[in-house]
Amino acid sequence: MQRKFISLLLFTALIAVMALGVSVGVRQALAEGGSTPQATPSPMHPAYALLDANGTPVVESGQPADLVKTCGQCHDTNFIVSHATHKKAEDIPGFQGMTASCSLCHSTNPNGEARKDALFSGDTAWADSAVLLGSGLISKTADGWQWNANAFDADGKVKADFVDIHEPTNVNCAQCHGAVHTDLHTPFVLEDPSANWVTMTTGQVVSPQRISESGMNIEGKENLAYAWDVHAERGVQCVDCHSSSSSPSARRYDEMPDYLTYDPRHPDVGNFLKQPSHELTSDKCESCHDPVAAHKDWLPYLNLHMSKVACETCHIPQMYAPAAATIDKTVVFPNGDTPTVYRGVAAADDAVEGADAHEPFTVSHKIVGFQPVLLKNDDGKLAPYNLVTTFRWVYEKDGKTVAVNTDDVKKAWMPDGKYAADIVKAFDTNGDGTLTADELALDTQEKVDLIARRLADLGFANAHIVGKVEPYAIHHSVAQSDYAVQDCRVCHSEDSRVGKAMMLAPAAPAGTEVGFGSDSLQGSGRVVKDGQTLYFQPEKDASLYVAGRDAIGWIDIIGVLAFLGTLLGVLGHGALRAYNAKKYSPHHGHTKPEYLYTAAERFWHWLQMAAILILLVVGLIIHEPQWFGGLSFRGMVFVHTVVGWILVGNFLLALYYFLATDYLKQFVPKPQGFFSRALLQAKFYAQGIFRGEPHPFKKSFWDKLNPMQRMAYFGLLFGMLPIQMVTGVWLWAARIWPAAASLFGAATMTWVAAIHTLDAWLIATFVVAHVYLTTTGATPFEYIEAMITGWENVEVDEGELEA
Amino acid sequence: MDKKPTWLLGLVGILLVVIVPIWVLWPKPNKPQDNPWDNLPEHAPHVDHSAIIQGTFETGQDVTKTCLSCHPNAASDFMHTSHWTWDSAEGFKVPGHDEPVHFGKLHSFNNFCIGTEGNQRVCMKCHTGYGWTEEAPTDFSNPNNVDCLVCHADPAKYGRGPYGDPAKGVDLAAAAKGVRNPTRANCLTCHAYGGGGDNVKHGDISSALYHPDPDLDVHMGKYDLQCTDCHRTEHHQVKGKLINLNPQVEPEEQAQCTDCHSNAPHEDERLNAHVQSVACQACHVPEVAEKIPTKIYWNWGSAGQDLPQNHFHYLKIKGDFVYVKNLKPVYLWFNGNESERYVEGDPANIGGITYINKPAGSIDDPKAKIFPFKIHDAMQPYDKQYGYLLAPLTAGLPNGFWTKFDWDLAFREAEEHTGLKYSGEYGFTESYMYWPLTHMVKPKEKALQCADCHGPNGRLDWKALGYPGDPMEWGGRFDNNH
Repeated sequence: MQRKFISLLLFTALIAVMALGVSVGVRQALAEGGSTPQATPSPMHPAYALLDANGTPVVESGQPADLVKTCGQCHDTNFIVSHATHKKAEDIPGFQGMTASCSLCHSTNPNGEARKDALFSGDTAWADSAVLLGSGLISKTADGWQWNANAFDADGKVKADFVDIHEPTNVNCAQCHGAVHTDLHTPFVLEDPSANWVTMTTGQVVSPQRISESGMNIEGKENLAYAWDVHAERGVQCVDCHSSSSSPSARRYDEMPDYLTYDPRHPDVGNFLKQPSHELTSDKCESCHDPVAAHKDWLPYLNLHMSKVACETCHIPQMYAPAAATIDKTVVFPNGDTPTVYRGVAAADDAVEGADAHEPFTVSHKIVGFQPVLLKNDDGKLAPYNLVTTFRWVYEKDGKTVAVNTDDVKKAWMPDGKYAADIVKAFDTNGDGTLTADELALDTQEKVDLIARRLADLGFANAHIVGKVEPYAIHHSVAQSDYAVQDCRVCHSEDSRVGKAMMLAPAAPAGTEVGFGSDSLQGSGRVVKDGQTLYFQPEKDASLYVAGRDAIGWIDIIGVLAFLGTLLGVLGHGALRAYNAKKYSPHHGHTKPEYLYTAAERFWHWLQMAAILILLVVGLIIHEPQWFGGLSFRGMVFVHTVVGWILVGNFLLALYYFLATDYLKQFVPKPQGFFSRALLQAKFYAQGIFRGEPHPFKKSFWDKLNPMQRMAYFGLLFGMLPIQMVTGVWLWAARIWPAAASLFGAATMTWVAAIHTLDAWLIATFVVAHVYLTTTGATPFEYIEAMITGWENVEVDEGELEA
Repeated sequence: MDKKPTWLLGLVGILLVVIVPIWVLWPKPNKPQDNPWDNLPEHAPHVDHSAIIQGTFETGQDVTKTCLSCHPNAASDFMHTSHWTWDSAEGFKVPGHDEPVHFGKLHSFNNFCIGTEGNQRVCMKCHTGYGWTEEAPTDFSNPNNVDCLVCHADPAKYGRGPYGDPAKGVDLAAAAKGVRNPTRANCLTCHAYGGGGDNVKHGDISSALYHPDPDLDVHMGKYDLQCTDCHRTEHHQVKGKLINLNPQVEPEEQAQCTDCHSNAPHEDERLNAHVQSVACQACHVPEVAEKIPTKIYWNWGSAGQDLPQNHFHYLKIKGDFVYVKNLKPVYLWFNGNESERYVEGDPANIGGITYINKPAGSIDDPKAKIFPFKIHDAMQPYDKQYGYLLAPLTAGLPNGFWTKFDWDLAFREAEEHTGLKYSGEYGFTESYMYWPLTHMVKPKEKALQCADCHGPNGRLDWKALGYPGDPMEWGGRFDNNH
């Protein structure tokens, strides 16, 4: 018995020793070199007295805190409140007085929800104190709000451990601004997009977490191993770009002369802390980034891209949080909510893009993401936007159009918490006596009129539905550069994102026209209907020529007709020649070898041939990239550019050569008797050639081209090719001098490109005819051989032979 | 006629004029050229030995004799490697010692099972030789004692028992017929089980690497790399040294990430800038022991009690332990060497921590980089009078601690093996061992992200590393602006 007791005692002691050893050892093992730093209170802020409206410490008075008074002990709070960007939010319910609620933005763990609860429950006086719930300073008991005496010293000052005032972090901004997620390792989940206005209207999520690590049900998530927002990932805080405009580190741009990149003159730190402007900057990408340096090594048409495309367009390629497409305030669902259609959510049926309008978004919906629509921003560059269409009941009041309050709309539908009997009768399409979400569509004028009548009964005379589209700019949720758009064909192809339509609403209430709520949309596009579904179709921008996307249809039709017509013509001609060859023995006159083409001429000719063929093929790939899936658009543009310059160089050298040697005159049609001579040649091609007659003109070194050849080559060398080279260089020059792109007005490039395209078809046509006519010699390859060797067996007159 | 060469010349000229500018001007990809596959060694296909090996074998030595009949240099090459000698070829300079000191598993102490001397019954299961007995070490000069099969046979056909002899029932002929290039399974037979069990010692080498999933180890899991792809072997000399027994390691002796990968492997300039101060492993080995727990604490002081036994918490022969899964490393400056290494007979730091080893490097050492380590913390025995660490006879028969559970006897019996006098009074003192973490490299999608280290909740203690604050805000050590 005793032995057992001793061993038990020993055992207990041992366990205790072990536990001690373990705790000491493990703690030290972890402490050595790699411990996690503790969250610390404010490094600088002195202890302060939290005052009520009378200037008495709250711990004494038990009254709610007045932060304007409290912070006003040192800071010029009147100045702050009157110089605050957030002032404009104060009209929104739940945001009243927020510029005076210093701790909402400046404490470690602000309780924005408690503040809203206090405001909505009428406890306005305690709203700013409620923000501190959870900080240890205050608690809420059955008796109401209680200041925690332990957190204050005898003078009523907040003890140092409880002073946690600092520059706003993302946690503070997240209290109101959309989905801001700061924890790398807790999977991010967006349960209710409508709770976050910014996220709901744009799909923007600010989080350092990789999308693949989030808790969202996103299609192909495993391949999205990049952060929701690269800036959040890289430790850039909201306030780093949205900072106080008078901060000692703030950059000022607007007033700066061109010869400065940074103005170092600022208020000194003391003055800034005394009187910090709360007008926040909205830094642009260029405030920190040098986009030219980042792209110069690889992005073709750098300056042109920079002048036409906003950074966000390529760097925010896809949104992966649901964003509202349609907010429909005209219908009330059985649960009392009004429906919202989210885009980027897989439809229950594949009928339309966007979530099923008939059920609210939940975390289990599959998100497929969406591409923002591209519209011109204030700088005139294409930038990503989300478009939100809102349907509301409005009525006339004192000559003004006013929206009917949502509660009143609810009353019209559900006077006593249930659908009114006449509504059930009108909407119950399946006749089961109850209304389900999918029956609740204002799809006929009768149904709209019914609700309008019921609203009229509530005092809203002449109630009708108005639909408005609002654009919401997207600047956040920037993807890591590897995931930015790098495939040119995203824009440079038939299926270009530039000008792509965006779904607005699966259906509009019967008889409702949809207008633009924002002036910025005027002229940028129009609302179009495809079946029931409404789309926003961006207006085609004449100043924007997007290679690979933009082609003028009739130009290509003319070009193809000319090309195919000639092809068919020479095939027919050739077939006829072949057929007749049996009937007529070909003419064989006396010949002598003659040196027709100098080495330089031949080299020029064949180099030009090679260049033209490459340019035609590669040009077609650039013109219609979607036909050539596997090829790199960028690579093709590069090859086209280099070979184009080779063509230009070859042309200029040849021009010099022909001028210097006077050989040029062989290409100039001789004016004397030109028409009769040309007719003679044409007649030969139309008749004589089939009968084996000799060519009507004899060749010699100084006169090797017949009248039709002279005309055709003159046209090529002094018409088609120069036009092609000028328009080609022009298209190329726009990459360096964007001004060249608007030399003759906004649509310059569209026309330059159109001429380039048409001319390319004509040159292709020339090539077909030219190659065919080389086969009209004594043997099919005789002329080609002559262009290789320089020598040709030229027919001679009898007399000449004797001489 | 001399026309033929003329037109050929023209053709070549035209091709040159078109191709050369395209080739020369072709836009350079902005991605660094880093194709690790180009740098992997090619292993010659192994000759099938099933028809070459004839007859039956009684002992391991018999097999080795047969091997040596065709591979006459194999054993002599092998006998120069530490896999055989269990001792360093040359001495190392160690602070506090004037003469160079040799280190090796044969005689150096650690803070797991402490020492091998006299404990050959168990320890020599992992020595690559036959011929160990309770009474005497093997004959290190006899090439026939080399165990070829432990590295070259399929471990499914070959295993080793006490003293490193082939386990009972092994069909040596079958094992010998199946010889091949060593696979992960061969190496893991010993290296995963150091310290007395699966993943006990390293943390980053466990049985999970037999068939790892890609998220555990991208090299071995996704691409099925073998140990010898990185630990390249010539003449049986395996590249790569562990600091614990090699206080100074020359960079060229070490298996490095840069043997295959470029020095600037990231597309992102910012990440590449990290390379000068942060080892690849720091971000790419964010944690280890995800599958098999690793030991981080071992208290010998509680051994010998009749307490409930459990591999992970208490064993009578060893004391109590702490194992963890998903071990997050500690991060230290590391230049590849050690700043401290305990030598048998050195005074222990009683009441404090005795460093069995300690990585060398500091923020001021431009060659040092921030590197992840596992710390193994132990309470191990020391002599109260002489003040040095003691290695007990543990597995040794008949009086080892694991048989008699008598510390006095175990220390006294160890005297003749270790050469360290035992005064009769012993205690237990705390010691640390640092284990560099370099295996279990995660795919890039699982590597650390910025906020894992930078920002308010980072895992690095910047001040402890010598920075004034987070270098994201305060600038890095090579930054001249602060």
